Amino acid sequence: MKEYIQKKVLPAVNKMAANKFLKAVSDGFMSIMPVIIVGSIFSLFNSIAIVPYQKFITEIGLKPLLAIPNMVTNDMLALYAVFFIAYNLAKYYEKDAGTAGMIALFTFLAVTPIVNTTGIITKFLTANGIELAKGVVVPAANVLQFDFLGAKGLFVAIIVALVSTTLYAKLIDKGIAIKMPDGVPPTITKSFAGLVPGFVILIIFLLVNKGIASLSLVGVDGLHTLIYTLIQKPMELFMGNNIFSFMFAILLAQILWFFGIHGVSAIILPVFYPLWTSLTVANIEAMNAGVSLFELPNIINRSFFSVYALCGGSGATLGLCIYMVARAKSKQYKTLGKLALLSNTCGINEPLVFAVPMVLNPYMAIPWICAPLVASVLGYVFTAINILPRLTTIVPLGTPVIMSGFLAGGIEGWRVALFQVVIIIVSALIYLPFFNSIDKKSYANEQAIDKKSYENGQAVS
Amino acid sequence: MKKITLVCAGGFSTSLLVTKMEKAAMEKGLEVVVRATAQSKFKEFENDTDVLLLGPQVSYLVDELKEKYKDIKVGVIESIDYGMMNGEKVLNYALNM
Repeated sequence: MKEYIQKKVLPAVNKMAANKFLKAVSDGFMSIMPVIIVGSIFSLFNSIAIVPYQKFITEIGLKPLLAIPNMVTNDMLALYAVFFIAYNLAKYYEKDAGTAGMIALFTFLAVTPIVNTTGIITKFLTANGIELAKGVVVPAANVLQFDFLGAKGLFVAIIVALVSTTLYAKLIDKGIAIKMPDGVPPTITKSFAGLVPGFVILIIFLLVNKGIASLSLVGVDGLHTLIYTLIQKPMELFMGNNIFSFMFAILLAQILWFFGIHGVSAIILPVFYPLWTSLTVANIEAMNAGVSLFELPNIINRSFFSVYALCGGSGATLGLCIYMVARAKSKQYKTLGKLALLSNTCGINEPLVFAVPMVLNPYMAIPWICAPLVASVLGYVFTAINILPRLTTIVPLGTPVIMSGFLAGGIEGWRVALFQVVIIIVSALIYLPFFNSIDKKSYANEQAIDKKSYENGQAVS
Repeated sequence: MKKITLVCAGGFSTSLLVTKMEKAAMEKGLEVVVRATAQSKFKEFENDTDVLLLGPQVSYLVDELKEKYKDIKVGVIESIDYGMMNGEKVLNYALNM
């Protein structure tokens, strides 16, 4: 059975995990984490719902300043995403990453509606039957609407980044580029190399966008609206804020881990992160608009994932780790527990994953898969009944447990942190019976070895 | 002086191992350079690496990397040594490749 898995299943899954498009998307989202975190932390400070605090920041003129960072980060997330996904994909193609990012960025903007204020204002005036006084002219300015720059544009950002960079790489490989003579400095050569592909890609996307607009589908006037209405919105509804699809994602990740493949980065990051990120951004918007933390739109989002499902690392092993340090019978597991404890509190538990091991270990498969599922369901239920707040801030990888609870829960963070302690205890209880059986075996082994050495007249260390 | 580069998914877990390997090398009086990096950043070290070790969770890259880097010795760290962060064992493995 093990042979079959290693020969047939592993390579197939590996191939999927090594897929450069999936990797570029997950690398891209990882790269833009600082953007999201900065935006969320400022939003947190902007919206703390304590009346004297709000009065204070409004009076000293700080409030408008606090609102700015989120507008230029989370509200424009697609811009950062398109650049960095293209950047990372170009690296896998071994092409100039900066140029690829640049091309993806202007292509994305080219298909994003730019309107003129004259048009907007005139439409408004006509619709309301308002007539301007003689000689009054409507102000004219070009405006890039925020609508599709933020979470709503994320899927188009992914598509544009992946397609434009692939085209870029293929065009360069085919030699379709302006070649500079040898003496020219490399920086100039590089920028010219990007010219022709940039032109071609831009033309293609402009045509596609126009083509989609002329299809006259309801509510579709271009690439953005097409993708959002047909793909992103249904995906968010069906897959995003849905506890069942969430559990499915965790199940998949844990099963991949069981085979030794980093489940989170292979599947969860590229597929679910864009969805969950836009759900988090929606929560931040609502929070900024003054909605209470218990009534934000989305229970499931990226923070939910890192704070509850990943509480104590993949597989929620912190409870187990603490137990190992305190109560393991065998020297092997006691030592392992001590070794792994510190990093496990920060969510890094590879030592446990590979040395218990959890990988390819049928004895630990059940708790390994169940613990994070139980943690997630508990988190969901308690949030749904309003004991726990909906989460906002995305916590960076490596943030210690409890602290991550405080960060993500904003002013109600203490509830989240407390609940994390509950998860740690519950997960420990789930692991206990299974761990005890392998611990007993290990202990018996150690006893047998000690006994043998003693009988052979060797010192027992 | 041997240059050893460890690669895993994010570079987090391998960096723990690096410290242990450096400690083991010091105890044996061996001069080595050990560093950890994420898989996407290995290019920066490709010309400065004698031995490339992969964390078990990215073991599937071994064939691809062996093909790509013909003059670098490429290997996969044993799961149990990786899990126990056994610097000495991994160092021996790297040096005896």
